[in-house]
Amino acid sequence: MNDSISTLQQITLEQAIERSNKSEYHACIVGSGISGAILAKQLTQKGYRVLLLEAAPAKDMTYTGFKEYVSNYYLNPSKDNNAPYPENPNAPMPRSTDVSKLTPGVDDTKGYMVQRGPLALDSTYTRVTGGTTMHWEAKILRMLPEDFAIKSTYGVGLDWPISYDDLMPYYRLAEREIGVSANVEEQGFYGIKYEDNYVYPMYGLPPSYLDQIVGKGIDGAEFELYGETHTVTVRTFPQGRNGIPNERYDNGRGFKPVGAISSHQVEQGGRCQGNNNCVPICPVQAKYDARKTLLDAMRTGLVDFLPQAVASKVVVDSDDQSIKHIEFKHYSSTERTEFTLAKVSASKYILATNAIENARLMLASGLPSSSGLMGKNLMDHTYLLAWGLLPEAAGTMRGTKCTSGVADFRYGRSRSKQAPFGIDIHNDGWGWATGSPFTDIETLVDEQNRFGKDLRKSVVDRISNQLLFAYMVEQVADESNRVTVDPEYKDALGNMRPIINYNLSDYSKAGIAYSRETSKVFFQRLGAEDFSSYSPLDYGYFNYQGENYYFRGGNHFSGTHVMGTTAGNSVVDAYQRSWDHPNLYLVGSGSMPSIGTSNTTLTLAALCFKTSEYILDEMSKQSVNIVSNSDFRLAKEAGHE
Amino acid sequence: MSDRVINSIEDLYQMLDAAVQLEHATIPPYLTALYSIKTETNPEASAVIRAVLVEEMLHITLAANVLNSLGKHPDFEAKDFVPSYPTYLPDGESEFLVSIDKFSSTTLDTFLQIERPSKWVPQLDSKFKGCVKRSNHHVFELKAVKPLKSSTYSFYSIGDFYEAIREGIEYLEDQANQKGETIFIGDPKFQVSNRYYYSGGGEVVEVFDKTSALNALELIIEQGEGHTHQIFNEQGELSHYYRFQQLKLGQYYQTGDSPDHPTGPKFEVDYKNVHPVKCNPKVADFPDDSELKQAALQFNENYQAFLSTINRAFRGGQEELIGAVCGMFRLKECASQLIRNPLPSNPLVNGGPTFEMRYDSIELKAKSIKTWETA
Repeated sequence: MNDSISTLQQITLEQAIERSNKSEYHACIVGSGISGAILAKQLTQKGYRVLLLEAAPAKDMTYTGFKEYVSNYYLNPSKDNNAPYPENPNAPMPRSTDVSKLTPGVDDTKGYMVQRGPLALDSTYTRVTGGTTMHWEAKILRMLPEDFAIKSTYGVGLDWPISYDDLMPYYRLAEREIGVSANVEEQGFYGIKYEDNYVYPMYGLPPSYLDQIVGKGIDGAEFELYGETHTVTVRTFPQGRNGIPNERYDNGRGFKPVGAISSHQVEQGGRCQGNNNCVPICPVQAKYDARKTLLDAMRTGLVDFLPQAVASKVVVDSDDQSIKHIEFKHYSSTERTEFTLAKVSASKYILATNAIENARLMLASGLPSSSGLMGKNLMDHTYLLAWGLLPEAAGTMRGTKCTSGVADFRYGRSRSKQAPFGIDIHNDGWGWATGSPFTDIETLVDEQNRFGKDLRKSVVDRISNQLLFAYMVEQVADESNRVTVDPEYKDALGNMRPIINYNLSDYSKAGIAYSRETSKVFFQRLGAEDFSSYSPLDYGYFNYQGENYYFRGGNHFSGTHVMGTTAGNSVVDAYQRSWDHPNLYLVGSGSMPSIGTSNTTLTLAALCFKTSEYILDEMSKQSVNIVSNSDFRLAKEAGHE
Repeated sequence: MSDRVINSIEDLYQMLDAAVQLEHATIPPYLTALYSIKTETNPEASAVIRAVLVEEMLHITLAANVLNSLGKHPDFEAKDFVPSYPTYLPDGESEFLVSIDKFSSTTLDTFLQIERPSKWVPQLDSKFKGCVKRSNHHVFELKAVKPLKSSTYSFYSIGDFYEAIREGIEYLEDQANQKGETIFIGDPKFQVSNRYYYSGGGEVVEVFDKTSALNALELIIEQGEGHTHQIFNEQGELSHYYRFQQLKLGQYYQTGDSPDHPTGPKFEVDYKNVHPVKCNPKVADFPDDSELKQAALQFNENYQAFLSTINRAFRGGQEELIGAVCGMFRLKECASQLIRNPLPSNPLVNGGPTFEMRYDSIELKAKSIKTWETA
């Protein structure tokens, strides 16, 4: 059976205020991305009432609304991460298409994020219901155990106040929530471990034909690095998309994949069909997005979902530093900028608006935290792309964006000297690097005057051999990379926009440079012609030890409200609770003190499960009259608890 | 008191074989209507037709699982497995024609007729339970409509057809049990499972005994016709008739609604954004040496090869279903080439898949499979 609900429990502004005035809300969550959705689900399934403020409109929860996104994407000449999502001046979002080369000392204000440099960061996030999972790639890796202690082990970046072992049970919960497809026997490397007899909810997705070609060529390649030998193996990635459910999951009860979201019955969203445009949007909803979790929360009947409500100020009670209320601007239409300023209160406040927006909101509220670290330590994965032409057709464009890669440079002694990296083998050819296949067609038509059948054949020939390695390089915490605000830069509702200061350290650059070296060896072994080139005119250009490079942002914003052991060295504690404000939680990748070489979503989701457990524990000590009704029990069953 | 339709295990094999053929018979019309809708238009109509289509595929799988549980296998390669369109289906005492055609108000009416819940008839004047005597019996091509090689009787409705199968299973298994035997002697490895088949309109029931066999048949009946005019089945799913009726009424059903009165979100069906596919096209309609003719032959070859893949899947090779998914995309591409292009003789009408299978040459068949694998 597919998911279907008759109402979305959307409430009006007036209802939200009335319930707030009656102190009915146990928690107010800002943001409906994966973090907010997990917190909403966990809290409501235990009977607590939640107000969820979302900056975007909510038609996203209907099947037709989602199809419009898919249609927007197909029609949009730009195929960037936010191409499916309509412009909304009241809750604008960054787009990579707004990024250009910076002039030193001049703020670039074209996009929503003001770029102060010295390097321009082209990363994005999505401000719609479901958040950035609406455009994520759904590669979903655990961090390595050593990633949690890079300061004490390698002398760089920051340590976590918790270890891999502490997070392991929450990784399990996150993998269930997202419905991860992977095989344990392929994923347990470089210290990654699992509970005994653990299986992922679904079997791993198969490697693409291209992966197999690359594997044949480079498996076994050895690299000597700071006295250690790194031996290359092509491995598949865990994926947040529907594959074959593992019948051994949950002690033999199996796993039920979640399909498309709809307010009426649809039969879509089952198994991944290998569409190559899963970034930005999976046309069949086989890819997980946070609306699936949000729907589970809504089924409890305990979520009051208020869309078109942009949080604008966190207001603190000066007596005890607790949060008194949240101010927000409620607009009636994306066409107009008129809004109603309102405020709501709850027992707990959870900011779940992503690393940039969480810090932006706190700074705009005049709350830099007692450590002064709010907005600082901004991290992202930096990508170096390397592209070449294989000597044979390798089926490029078949399968999802990326199915396999190399994990053998993610660990080890070299981390004290240069950034480690993971490697993705891209199934979409040179798309990210050159704008292929669109640019290929331009070249074939404009420069080679090809048309008709000849053009069609040339396109196939040109693309089938394309190979792109994307090197995802770790970036460690650095206080000078940061988000700030300035009253000079505001959006249409008068909210201050995020200003980004961003640069690459020599540690990062050394990692990028070494990753480029490995690409040369790989191309050599594969007999591929290397077409990589990094122009000084590119916005991500830098020179390192005489060589040209560029970097691309990884859309993995993190670190802006890092967790730590004291109020002096961090913004939040190990439960993502603000050191300064006892009833405030800042959740998501902003809390991560390091990001290693793993895409951030799984780890931030695991952290949110840990936080929800803590909040529930706290609430159970305080609350006496918890709503518990049949809806709740139904939801609990539906949520496979 | 009328006689039982199924009295021997051979009768039951024949009826289940017919069930597989019957469930398949709706696929060419649904598929053509779906593909005729212009891309990115009519999302509601596309979603509904697609939902019904995949449930028909599930029904094929369920019927095949029942047959396999008895130690027999369906034959998708059998001559006349794919009927020639238009083909007749029974509608109570009368009949109607099912065509391969573009999506339109008329096609939608036909779809509603295919899926209409059976009207309860107090007493049929028939030798066989659930059957009526038809003067034009010869027009029906599908085995399911005329059982037991009878030259005059046919089932009153599809529901009566499945009722006869249920009764047959009960009777034959009871007979076998009395002798300390069972009719469910099929090797379980032939059962297609959810591992290879999910998100195709519901969950597959693997069949090992009478209970699971009846459950599988129950699911087919519930999804198709619905029970006693209930719009939602026990799993909360809308039956096919009411799914299509939403398109007729331009409004979705939601939980709590009564039949014919949906109260969910409204929408508009756009019959204009549809490619003008020729009704019941035949390869002979396309000029020799035309691209349309080539495309039509290519589609048919691919479809026949696709049926061969499915045949292997139901004969112990269920892992072939994964590859069959790619095959379905290829069929869509082939169908699109036909559906988007006008006939040279009449530019106002476009081509369409003809679903004409070739059984005359084994050599051709071998060739088509090869084309399939290397295409």
